[in-house]
Amino acid sequence: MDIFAKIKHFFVAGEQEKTTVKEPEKNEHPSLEHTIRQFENSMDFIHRTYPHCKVDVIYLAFLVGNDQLLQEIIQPFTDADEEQVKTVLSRSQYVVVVDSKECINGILNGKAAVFFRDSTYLVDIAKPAGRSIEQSETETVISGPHDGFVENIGQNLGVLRQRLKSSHLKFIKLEVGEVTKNVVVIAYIEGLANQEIVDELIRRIQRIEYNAVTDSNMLIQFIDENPNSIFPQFMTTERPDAIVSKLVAGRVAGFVDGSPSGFTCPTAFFDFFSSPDDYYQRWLIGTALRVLRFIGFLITISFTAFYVSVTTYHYEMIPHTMLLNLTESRAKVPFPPLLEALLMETTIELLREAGARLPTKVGQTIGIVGGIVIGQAAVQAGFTSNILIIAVATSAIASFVIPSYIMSASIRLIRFGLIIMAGILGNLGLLMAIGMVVIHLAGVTNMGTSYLTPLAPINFKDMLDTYIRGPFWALRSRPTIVRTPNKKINKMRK
Amino acid sequence: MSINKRLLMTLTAVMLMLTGCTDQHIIERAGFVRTIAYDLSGEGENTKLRVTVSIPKSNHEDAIVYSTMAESGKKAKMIFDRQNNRRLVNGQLRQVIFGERLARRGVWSNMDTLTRDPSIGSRLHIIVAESDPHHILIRNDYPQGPTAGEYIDTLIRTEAKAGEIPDTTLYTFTRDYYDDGIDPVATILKEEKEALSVDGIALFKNDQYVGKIDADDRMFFALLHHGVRAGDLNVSIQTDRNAEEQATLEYLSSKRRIKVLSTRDIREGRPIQVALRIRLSGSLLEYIGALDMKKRTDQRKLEAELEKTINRKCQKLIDHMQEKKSDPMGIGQYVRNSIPHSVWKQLKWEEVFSKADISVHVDVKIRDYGKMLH
Amino acid sequence: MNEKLSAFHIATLIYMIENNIVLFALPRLVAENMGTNGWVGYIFLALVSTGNILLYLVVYRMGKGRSMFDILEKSLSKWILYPVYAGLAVFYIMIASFVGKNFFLIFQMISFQTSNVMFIFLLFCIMVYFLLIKPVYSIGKAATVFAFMTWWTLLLTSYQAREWKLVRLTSYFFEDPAGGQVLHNWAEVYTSFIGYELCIFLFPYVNKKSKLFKGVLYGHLLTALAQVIVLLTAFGFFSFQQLQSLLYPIIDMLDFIEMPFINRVENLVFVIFVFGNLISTTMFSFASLSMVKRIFPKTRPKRLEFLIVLGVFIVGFYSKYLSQSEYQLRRVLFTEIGIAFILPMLLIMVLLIQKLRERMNSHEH
Repeated sequence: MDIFAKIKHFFVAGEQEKTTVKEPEKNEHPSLEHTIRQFENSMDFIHRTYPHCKVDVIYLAFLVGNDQLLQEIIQPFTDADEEQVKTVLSRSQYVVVVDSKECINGILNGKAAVFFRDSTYLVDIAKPAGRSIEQSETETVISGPHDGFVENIGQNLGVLRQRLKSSHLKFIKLEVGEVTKNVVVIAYIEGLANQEIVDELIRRIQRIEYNAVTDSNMLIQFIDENPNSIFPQFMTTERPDAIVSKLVAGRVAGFVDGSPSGFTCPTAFFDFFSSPDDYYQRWLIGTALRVLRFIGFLITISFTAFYVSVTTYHYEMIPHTMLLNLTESRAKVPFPPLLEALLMETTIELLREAGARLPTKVGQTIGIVGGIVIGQAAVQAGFTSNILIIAVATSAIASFVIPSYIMSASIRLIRFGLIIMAGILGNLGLLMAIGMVVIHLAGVTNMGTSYLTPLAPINFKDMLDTYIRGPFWALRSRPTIVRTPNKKINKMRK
Repeated sequence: MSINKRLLMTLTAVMLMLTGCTDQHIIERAGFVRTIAYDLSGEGENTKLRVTVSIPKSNHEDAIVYSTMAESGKKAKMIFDRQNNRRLVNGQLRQVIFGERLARRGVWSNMDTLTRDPSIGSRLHIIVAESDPHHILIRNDYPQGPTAGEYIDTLIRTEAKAGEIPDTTLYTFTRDYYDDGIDPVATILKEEKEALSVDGIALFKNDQYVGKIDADDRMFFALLHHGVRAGDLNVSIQTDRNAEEQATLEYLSSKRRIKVLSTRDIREGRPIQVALRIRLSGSLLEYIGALDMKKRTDQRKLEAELEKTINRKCQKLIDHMQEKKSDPMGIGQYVRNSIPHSVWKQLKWEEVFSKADISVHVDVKIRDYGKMLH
Repeated sequence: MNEKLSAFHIATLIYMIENNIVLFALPRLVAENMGTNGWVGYIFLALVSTGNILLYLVVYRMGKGRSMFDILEKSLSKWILYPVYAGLAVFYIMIASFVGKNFFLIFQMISFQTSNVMFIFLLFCIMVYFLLIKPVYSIGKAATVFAFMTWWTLLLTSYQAREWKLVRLTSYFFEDPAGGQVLHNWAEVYTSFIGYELCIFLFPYVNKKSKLFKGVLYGHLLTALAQVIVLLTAFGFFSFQQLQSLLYPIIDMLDFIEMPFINRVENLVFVIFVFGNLISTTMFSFASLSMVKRIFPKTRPKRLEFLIVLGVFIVGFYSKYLSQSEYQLRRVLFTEIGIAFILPMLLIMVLLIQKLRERMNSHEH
């Protein structure tokens, strides 16, 4: 009986578990003592009293700006009596608060809480710290705008509004993170973006339960449908012009306070290969650049693996002019080609990671030392063959052609898998590994759309902007991936 | 369940790592045989097969040469394996040389292994050697290339590319051997004091070496055999001016067309009539003779004289081939296409070929006369 | 995802299934079984198979897109049908296994002579599993990507163009087949078309917009065209008797290609066909899965797929040698030809009976 029940349980699905629903918390009226108790023992907690008008002001010192403090708090309440305070507090910038949690949130966001008689008011005197707008370090273009987003979400949204002067551009505010209560803003153009996608995105973000979500790149890992996939499923970028073009295409963008990257969805695999640079050059050149990127992609995943498989299993493929050169270069190496290739690839990855951590002044020297000296010395010592060094170096360079840094990191990881499979089974191993990657990609979706658009499901019109950069007169409609209600790209529906 | 799954996956991963182990042919640990030579040695009852292999060394300078007597090629390979510190592999085989005696006896029995082995490519050259193949391979004092194998390789490739000799690879040999309407050919190599030279074309009947086309005539044979793409032709014109004049056509390109004129009464033994039309054009870059190239009439006269001489030469070659009963031009294929199947099946093509009336028509067009105007 | 397949993806799916099973030996099969200029006979067989596809179209139209199971279960009792489903499921597992294993045995002959094929086959079965657990829509997507990666191999026939001679085709038609002109031999060539009958399992996954049969016909005709081109090239490139003696002429054709930076491309091109093999095996396993799912509809996801792939792997142990595997494959494919013809005819009869019954019922009221 037991065994049969076990087998049955193995095959037949059991009943669904019931999910519990959280009950909303009850409101509490804000009170001075409660608020003081929340914030005490922190040196930036300031409590000002104006006993002559019975006003208490609470704020956090490092979040407020001096000018605003002077204007909204110090000036009105010094030398005022109770009647004047009432008039002051009836102004629009003093907002009445009835929930204690809201009051505390407000203080945390840089507002000052004013306690007068039994009511509590919040006034916004925040002046957050942040850097000014400058070019993003990870995404640079040669010809095009050089500004990038910064950490403050207000500034970012301001930059966006400046570029997209449309009344249809809407921002929706959400909060994530139990402890950090980070602000997340969803941006979309009403009428161009698909409302279902926006709603689904909002739903997913609201479902996040985590302590701290500090960056967009972290946020998108919480809201994607294939968390175990190697490939990124939302596009993140630090460039305002990229976000603007994606919004206009009908995608939905999102920003996280404290993060200079914005993310967009829906995204497909091939979107990671396009850079804003392509649009600032003529279309033939843009096409050549895109094609170059795809070639770079192929080179970076398969070149070293192909070298390993040919030198280990398929020596017949080597043309006779190269055969003796290859053999000679490998003659001194004590390792089989697989180990040699893995060794060199790991070294290059170490170099790259070290270069990312080093300060710029030291980084250049290490780059030269690592790249040239170690490579040369390795060949002369007989650790590796010089043809392998060429293969590995070319693969490494080709991997940086891909504009999106996160995607190139994923691709580098795949390269290792391919090298190992090529070392096990030669060309068959290499192709089977590529097959596994394709099978995996075929199942990845992003916001309900297939990750491999426009290849599968096939759409020839979209290909004009994916594999080549078609001329502007040919790009007549928005990409199908966004499922927009407004297809024609030149006209806004009024 | 999840621990079991993980264990299973690790086991599978480990097993898979070991999968291809025995099949690895890591290149620096493999000895690539580049040339194999077969010939017979010994007399009468003691005739035995001698197999020689040449393995190039990675320093481009030398080659390791092994030689032994054995019953078959693969048996010899096993003997060589015992001597060499690397595994011998056949995947990079480039040439196979047959000694003259063995070629006369028949080459197919040794070629069988070459066609069966999947690691051997089909582009390896088939060569018949007039001198001792073993000696050819053992020498490494050729000025053109340190090792014999590399030298032969590049020599044959360059010649074949120009179209001066037919491209004789394992693929063409096998294809023509099986085809009952054409006979295969091979290149003949001769050893000289300082070099190796392509000494002509070997004619085969089935798989036996029966005749030779001389090196001087190889261009005419090429015109008969296939369309030449870029060759040089030197003609000694016999004129009615009682002198022998020389003309050389370079950058030659030619087309040949075979037309079966009549196959009537072929069963009764009546000779068939075939017309071979060759159309060639080239640049006249050397002319030692009396005609003046400025005059239009003289140009035509030269072309006519060239046609006559080439025609005569080709006819002589065809007679030679008919005498040896070997049909490398593929006339049999065209005849086959013009008679019913049952008739073809009953025919002994070599007999019919040797009695056939084959006429050659040459059409020469001199493209240009070089930089000079006279 | 409940998305439906579209015509283009169905076409590539059928193309990838068909273009691979008997491809490598095809010129020899045609030369052996049909004689000289056998490619003409091949075109004739392509028309016959198109006729078979039209039979399926009739079933689709008459049944208004209902799946095969719904049609059958309306008229016949479940207790008769379930054993039939089970039998067919096992049969499809056998086909999947033989098709999959055969490729690797050929591969073993070329490159990996001493490795144990079952290890490689295990890896392959793992790939089949990962593909099988995805919905058909994703399988179609993967097939499209694979098709884009492999279609250019057809262009490699241009390398043989230099040595191609019209005269080698001979002017005889259908002469000299080894073994005479027998239906059995022609059927052997027909096995290269197997794959289109899997369209019947796609019925529940398409809707009117998908234009299922447009896709199937395109895919099928594309395969036939590609094969004819390859056949023509082979017949002009090799002499006729040579073609009859080469085991896998396609591999020899690939062997001939020599490019300046790479030689012997058959080591790479032959391996590329593993993708087609993957799709074929997966789709046959999918057919089996559809059958088993009908019998046990309430199982947890992924369990049945695991069992079926396990079945494919275990059946793979049966054929150890290439000659044995070829023989088994041929027998199994012959039966499949029979099923491909009989099944739609059976369904048409059942549909006719159902229509008659409805008409009688509506007359009574």
